Amino acid sequence: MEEVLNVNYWKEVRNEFHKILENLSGIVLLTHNSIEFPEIVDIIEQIKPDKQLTILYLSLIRTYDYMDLVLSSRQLNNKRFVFIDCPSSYAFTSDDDTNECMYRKMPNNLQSMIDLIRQGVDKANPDIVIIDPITQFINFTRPTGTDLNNLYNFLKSLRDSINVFQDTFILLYDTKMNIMQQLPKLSTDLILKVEVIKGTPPWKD
Amino acid sequence: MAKVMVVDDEPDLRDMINLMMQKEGYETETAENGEDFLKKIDDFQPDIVTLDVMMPGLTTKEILDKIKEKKSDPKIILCTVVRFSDNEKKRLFDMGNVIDYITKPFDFDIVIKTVKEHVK
Repeated sequence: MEEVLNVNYWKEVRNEFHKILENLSGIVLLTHNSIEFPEIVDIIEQIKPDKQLTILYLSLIRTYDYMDLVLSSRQLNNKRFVFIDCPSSYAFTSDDDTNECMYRKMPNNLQSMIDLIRQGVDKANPDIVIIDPITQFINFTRPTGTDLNNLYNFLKSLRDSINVFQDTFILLYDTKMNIMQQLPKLSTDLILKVEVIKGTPPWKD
Repeated sequence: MAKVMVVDDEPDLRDMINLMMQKEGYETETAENGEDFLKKIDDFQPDIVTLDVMMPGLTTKEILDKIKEKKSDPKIILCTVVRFSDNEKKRLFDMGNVIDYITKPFDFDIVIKTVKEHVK
């Protein structure tokens, strides 16, 4: 049976990765839909590992129930999550908000997502904002000029509206599904490629 | 030959699945959302329905509840980009008619294989 053998993170200089995450502050993390939730949690664990951080997690494709189960199997004592769960309302009658989760309808476009994030910021006062995945609104494989312009305007508006502490925009992606022909280099500060290596461990042959 | 109905609000994906089902020899019909599906279901009387979970309008639960008021009693395969917990998947299966679940983005061969399995 295949297992994850290794996870690599690529920036310009690969070995700087852990040091970069330890020192970053005020992060807006944008994910590509090829990234699975446990991989995102792996990244979060490495951001200022010794500090108490609050994470506002806007989820467009994973339900709170699904993510909460994953988190309950991990030791993340100094990370507090507040979720905005958009997909649950498509399947079920929405639950009432709790301290950990706000249930909302899916935003129609990038600009309406800003209002949603602002609601979450008011509730959680987060250190990190995660938009998972940004690819619900932009396809990086074949983006048009308009798509990229909309993304740039969205990120600029977001930066302006929550700029008190959010100053580092990161795009997290994996190439296992799509070729990323156009990356939003203009709008983001850091682009991280995650490479998950799967296989049968040699010691299990 | 079995009748397959493809319900998805993404036109490209809906047309692609529809075309593949026709190539497999199935009689097909499409719908662009839950309301459209419920309007067409009794006329077409599908054996199998591929149903997108994330569509504007009715929730999946509302669609599955309303099917019970219809003459048709199709098998439903949920197609979704949403990652649900096992409990939530069980809730969806318990709503009736749901017999399988495919996670998007999917390989089209998996859709064909899943439909074939349930047509038998």
